[in-house]
Amino acid sequence: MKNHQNYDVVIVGSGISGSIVAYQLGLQGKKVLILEAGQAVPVDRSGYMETFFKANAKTPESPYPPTTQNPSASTPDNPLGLPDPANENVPRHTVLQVGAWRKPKQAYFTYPPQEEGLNGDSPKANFAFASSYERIGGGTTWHWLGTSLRLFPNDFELKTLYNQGVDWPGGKNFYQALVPYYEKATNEIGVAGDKDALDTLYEQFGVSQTGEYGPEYDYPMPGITESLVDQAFSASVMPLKVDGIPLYVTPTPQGRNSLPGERRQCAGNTNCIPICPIQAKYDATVTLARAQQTGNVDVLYRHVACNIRVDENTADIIGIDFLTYDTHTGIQTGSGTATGKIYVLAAHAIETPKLLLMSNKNKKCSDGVANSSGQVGRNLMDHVMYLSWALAKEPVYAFRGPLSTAGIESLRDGEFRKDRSAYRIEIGNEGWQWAANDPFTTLADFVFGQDNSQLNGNAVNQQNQPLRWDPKLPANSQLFGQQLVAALNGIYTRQIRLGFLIEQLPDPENRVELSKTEKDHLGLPRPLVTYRIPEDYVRNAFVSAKEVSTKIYNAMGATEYTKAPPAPVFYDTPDKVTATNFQYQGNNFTFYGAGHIVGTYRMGTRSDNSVLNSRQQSWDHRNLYMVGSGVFPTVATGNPTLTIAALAFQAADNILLDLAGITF
Amino acid sequence: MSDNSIEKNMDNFIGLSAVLTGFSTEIIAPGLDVVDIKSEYLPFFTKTVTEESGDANLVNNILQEFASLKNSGLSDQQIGEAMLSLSNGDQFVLACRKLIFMWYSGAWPTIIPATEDKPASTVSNLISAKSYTAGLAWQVMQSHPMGDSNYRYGYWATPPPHSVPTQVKEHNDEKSSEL
Amino acid sequence: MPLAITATPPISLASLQHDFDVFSWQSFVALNWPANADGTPNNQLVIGQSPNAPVVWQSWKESRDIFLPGGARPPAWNQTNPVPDVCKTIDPTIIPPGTIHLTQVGKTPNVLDESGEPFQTGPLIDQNGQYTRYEILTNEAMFNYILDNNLYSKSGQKTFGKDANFPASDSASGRVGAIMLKAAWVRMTGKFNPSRYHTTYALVYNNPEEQNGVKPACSLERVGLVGFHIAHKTKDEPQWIWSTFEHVANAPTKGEPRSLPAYNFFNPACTECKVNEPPPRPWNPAHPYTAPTQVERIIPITNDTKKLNQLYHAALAKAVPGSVWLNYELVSTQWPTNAKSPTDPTGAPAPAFLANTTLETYIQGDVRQTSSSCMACHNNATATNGLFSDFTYLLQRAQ
Repeated sequence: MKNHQNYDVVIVGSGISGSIVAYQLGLQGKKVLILEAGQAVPVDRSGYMETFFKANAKTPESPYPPTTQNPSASTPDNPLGLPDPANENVPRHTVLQVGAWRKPKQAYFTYPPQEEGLNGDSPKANFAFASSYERIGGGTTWHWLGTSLRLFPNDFELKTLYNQGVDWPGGKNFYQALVPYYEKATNEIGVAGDKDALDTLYEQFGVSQTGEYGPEYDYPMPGITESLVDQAFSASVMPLKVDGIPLYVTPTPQGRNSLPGERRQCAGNTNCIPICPIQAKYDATVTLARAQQTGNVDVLYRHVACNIRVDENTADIIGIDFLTYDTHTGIQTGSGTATGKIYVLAAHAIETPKLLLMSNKNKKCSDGVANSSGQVGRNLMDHVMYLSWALAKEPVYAFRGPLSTAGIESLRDGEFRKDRSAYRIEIGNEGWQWAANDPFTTLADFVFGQDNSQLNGNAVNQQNQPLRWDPKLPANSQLFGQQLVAALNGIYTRQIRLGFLIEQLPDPENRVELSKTEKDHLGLPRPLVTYRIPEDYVRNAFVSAKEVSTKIYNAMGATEYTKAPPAPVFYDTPDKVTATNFQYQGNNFTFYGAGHIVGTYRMGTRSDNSVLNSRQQSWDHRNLYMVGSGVFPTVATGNPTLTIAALAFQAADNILLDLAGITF
Repeated sequence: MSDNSIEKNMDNFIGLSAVLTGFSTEIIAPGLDVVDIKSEYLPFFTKTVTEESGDANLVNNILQEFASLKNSGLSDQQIGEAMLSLSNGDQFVLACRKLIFMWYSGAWPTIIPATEDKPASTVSNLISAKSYTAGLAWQVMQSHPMGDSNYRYGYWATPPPHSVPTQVKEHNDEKSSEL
Repeated sequence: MPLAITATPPISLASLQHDFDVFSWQSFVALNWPANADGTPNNQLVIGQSPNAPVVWQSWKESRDIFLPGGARPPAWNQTNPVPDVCKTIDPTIIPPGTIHLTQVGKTPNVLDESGEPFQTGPLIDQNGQYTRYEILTNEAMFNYILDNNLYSKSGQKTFGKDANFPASDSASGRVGAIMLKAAWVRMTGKFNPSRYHTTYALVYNNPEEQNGVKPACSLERVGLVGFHIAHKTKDEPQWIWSTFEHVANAPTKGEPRSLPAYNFFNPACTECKVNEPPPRPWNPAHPYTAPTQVERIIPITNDTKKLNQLYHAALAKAVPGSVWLNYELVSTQWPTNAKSPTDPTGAPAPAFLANTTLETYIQGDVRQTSSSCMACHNNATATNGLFSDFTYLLQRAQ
C-alpha cells in the first residue's frame, strides 16, 4: 500500500480539465496530486507518430497506447486484430470497436441487448456509441481537432426558449459568468481566430450588440488561413437560406498556431486528428507542463483510481484508492490511497461516472458516490454527425491544410429549434478520407476495377445523377500509367465533405452503468452503455442535414456522392448487426461520433435531478468537484473543448475559495 | 543470384513500376535516393507474390517479360497494356496490379471477392512507416502524406505550385495546376 | 571559409556525403581559427595555437544582441552590446576581454529551443549536475541582412511583408552568405578537465523569460564548448548546409562499445538511469544541482565520417601537437539531394535525420516530422509576421 497525503487537492485525470485546475491551483501555491490512469506524456512524440504511420486504420486513437489494432492478430472473427479489453489495464473505447460493438472480446463497452421486435425506425433501438477518448497523460486533447468555439447564450436556455432539453443552471447568467473564463481558456489554448468574422456571427445571434462576449474579447493569434475548399463553399452558399436563415462560411477559431510562438506554426500536416506531428496544435500536455513548472503539482502515471472513500458522518470525501501497473497487459503492481482536502474528478465523461458508480462500498452510498439523485452516468450525449460528400466542379485541392478551417455557424440557433435540433456544419479539408477511406478506396477501385467509391461503375446518386467519374471509360475500369494518374488526380483534388454536428437531447435513459459481467485486466468493471436517438426532434435534424447538404452541393455545381447507408440490422450475428444505422421518414441514416462525450454528471439547480451544483461541486459531498464535458446539461451547438477549459478555470476559482475558507 | 542479376532485377522492377504507375523511374527511384523505398519493395514484392501465387518463378517471369517488351522498343502505354493483358494469366496480371497499388499506397492489398450482399472490395496492410509516407497517392493529389507535410504555413490557401510530379522537369517554375 | 562544395565524381549519395563532410570540417577549421581583436582570422597563428583565446566566430552577433527589447535597432556589426541589467553588477574589470554572454539556458532540441522557449523539450544536465548553456550567433552577412531590412523588430518585419531570403555564399563571386551558429557550453567545474575543451569566460545569465519561476541572475563562469552547429546558406543549397560537431566525450552511441571511462553527459556506472530523458519539472538553471541527464547517441556516426574525423584529427595534431580541437568530431552534415525539387521544399535532405546529442538530445531518432532533422524543421520557420524566414527561427524573436 502506498499512501500519498498532505495534498490540498487530489485530481483524477491529466487531460485538459485536470491540467487547468492543477495549473491554477499550483500557481496559487496549493499542493496538488494528479492520478493519471494512463502512460506518461512521452519525452518526444516520435513513438506515437511511428505507431500512427504504421497503423492500417488511422483512426483518432491509432497513435496512442494501448495499441488499437494488431494486423498479425487478425482472425476471421476479428479481422482488425482488436485487443481483448479483458487483458488490458486501461482499455478505452475506440472507433474501430464501433463495428465490433456486440463482441465483448473486442469492444471495451458493453451494451444491453436489443429489445425484441423493433423496426428500423424504432426510437427504442440501441446503438453503438460512436465517439472515443484517450487514457494517457494529456488525455483526449492529443486527438482533438482544435476547434475553439464558444457556445451561444441561447445554448444555455434550450428549455426556456424552445421547450426542449434543459437549461444550464442560471441560463444566460451562466454564460455571462463564464465570459471571463472563456477569455482565460482562449489564451491558455492560444486560439487563432478571426475576430471580425466572429463578430459577424455574434451579431447574428444578438451577442455583440450588448457586449456580452466580454470587453477584453479577442484572440491571441490571427485566424488560420482559410483553405481553397473553404473558399469554394464560401463563394457558393451565400444566396442560400435554411429555415429563413442565410448561410455563410465562418473561419473557425482554432487551437493551433497561426504565428510562431511557444509552439511551432501550423504546417498543414492535415493530421490534427489523430496527431499533430509538430505540436502546432494545443494539447493538454502544454498546460500539464505549466502546472508541473509551478513546483506544486505532482503527477502519478499508471495510477488507476478505483474507489472514492466517503466519511459516513460528514459525507466528506476522505480519499481516493488507486491500483498501479507497469505495462498495459501486465499484472497489477500495487495499490494505495491518495488524500487531500478537496477532490476533483477529471476523467472525462465515461470514466468519471464509472469511478463514481464503482465507489459503492461506502455506507449510505450503495448506488455510488455523489449519486443521491440517481443521475450519475445519465444523459450521455454526443454531437451525432451526419456526413455528406461530393466532388467539386473544379479542383479545390483537398487533403491540404488543417483538417478543418471553417464551418457554417449560422444555423446554430433559430426559431426552428422548437422543432428540430440545431447543428453547425464543419467543412472538411481532408477530401473523402473520413467519408470513404480515401485515398485508398478510390485507388483500389481504379486499380482493381471495383466501385466502392461509386466513381467507377453505374451508381447514381440520390438525385439520380450518374456518378461514374469518366463517362468515356467503361464501368469497373482497371487503369494504369498516365490514365490512372489523370483519373486519381482529377478525383482527389475535387473531393469535399461536410459534417453536421447535430445537438442531441439529454435523455436519462442514455447512460453509463457498470457491466455486471465484463471486467478489465485490473478487475474493474467495464462500462455498460445504453445509447439511443429516440427523439424525432433530433432525427428531424438528420432530414434537414441531408436536404441542406444537397442544396449546398447543387449551389456549388458539385456532384454529391453521399452513399445511403444500408438498412439497420438489429437482430443477427455480431458480424451482421449494424452499429449506428437507423431509419427515419423512409430514409436510411447512419450517424458518426463527433468525439464530444457529454453529460454524465450534469450540473443543475436541484439536487434531485443533477449531480453537481452550478459551482461544479457535488450536491452530496462538499469537497468533491467534477470537471470536463460530463458537467454539461446539454451538448449545445459548439465543439465542447473551449467550454470545458473555461469551466475548468471557473472550477479552479471555486476550489480556491473553498480552500481559503476550509479548516480541516 | 549474382550482384549483377540483382541489379538487373532492380532495374526491371523499377522500369516496370514506372510504366504501371505513370511515374518516371527518376521520380520513384531517383539517382540520389535518400528514401530508397525500392530496396524495401522489391524483396517484399518478390516474397509476397511468390507466397500468394505459390509460383516460385512468377516474379522472375514478370520482370523478364517486362525486359523483353522494353527491349522490343514499345511505348510505355504498349508495354503496360501487354503486361496487363489477360493472356499473361490471372496471377501474373493480379501481381502487376498489386504492384501498382503498393506503389500508390505503401500497402499490400488483399481483394475481398463480392458476396451476395456486398460488392468486391480491397483491404490492405501497410508495409512500413516509410512506405506509408512514400505512397504515390499523395503525389497524385498534389499534396503530402497525411501527417507528413513539408509545405509551409498557409500553403492550403493557394493551388499547388506544381502539377503531378510524374516526370523530372528541367524547370520548376511551371504554373499548371491541371494535367 | 569554404563557399561551395567540391563534388568528386563519380557522384553518388556516399560520394556527395563525403564532399559535404569535408566542407563541414573546412568550415570548422576556419571558424575556430584564432582571431584578432577585431574578429578577423589571425594569420600569424594556426588553429590550435593560443588555446582558449577567442576564435573567429566568437565575435559574431548573438541573437540577444540582435533582437532587442522594444524592437530597438541593434548597434552595428563591430559595436558592442549592453549586457543584461543583472550582469552589470559584475565588476567589468574582472571580465577578460572577449568574454561572451551565454543567455540561453537549457539545451533544447531545435524547434522549441529556437522558438524562444528553449525548455519545452527539456534542459540538458551535465555530469556535474549543471545546466548546459546555449547561444545562437550570426555572421556579418546574416546580421546585415537583418539590419538592412529592419527584420530585428516586429514592426520592421511587418513592413517587410514578404518571405525572407538571406544572401547565399557564391564561390564564383567570392561572396560570403548567411551563416548561423549554435553553440552548447558546460561549466568548467567538478569532473571536467578544462584542458580538454575549448573554453572561454562567459556571463551565464538565467533568463526569466525562459521559464516560469526563473529569477534573473548572472555570474561569470569559465565554460567549455561541447556542441556546435554550423548552418551555411550557399548558392546551390538554398536549404542551407547543416554541419554539426560535438565534443568527443559527450555520450556513447547506443549499441556500440563504450570507448571512454567518463563522459560529459553519460554515467557508465548508472544502470538505472533512464536514457535521453529530461529532468522532471520545475526546470530552473539556478538549481545548484540537478540529477544529470543520461545521454546516448541514437544514430551512429558513419564509418566514412569517422575516417574523415581521423584524417582531420591527424592534420590538427600535426599543426599543433595535443591541439584542443582533437577533442571535437563531426557528427554529420545534412544537405539537400534535390535542392530544386518542385514538391519538396526541404530538398530531400540527406541524411534524413541528424541530431547533436547536446542540442537535440531528446528528439534523436528516425521518425519523420518528429525526430531531429535540421532542414525538415527549419523549413517551417517563420518570422513574427508568419511569413517564411528562410530556415532560421531567429526572426521570430523580434519584439
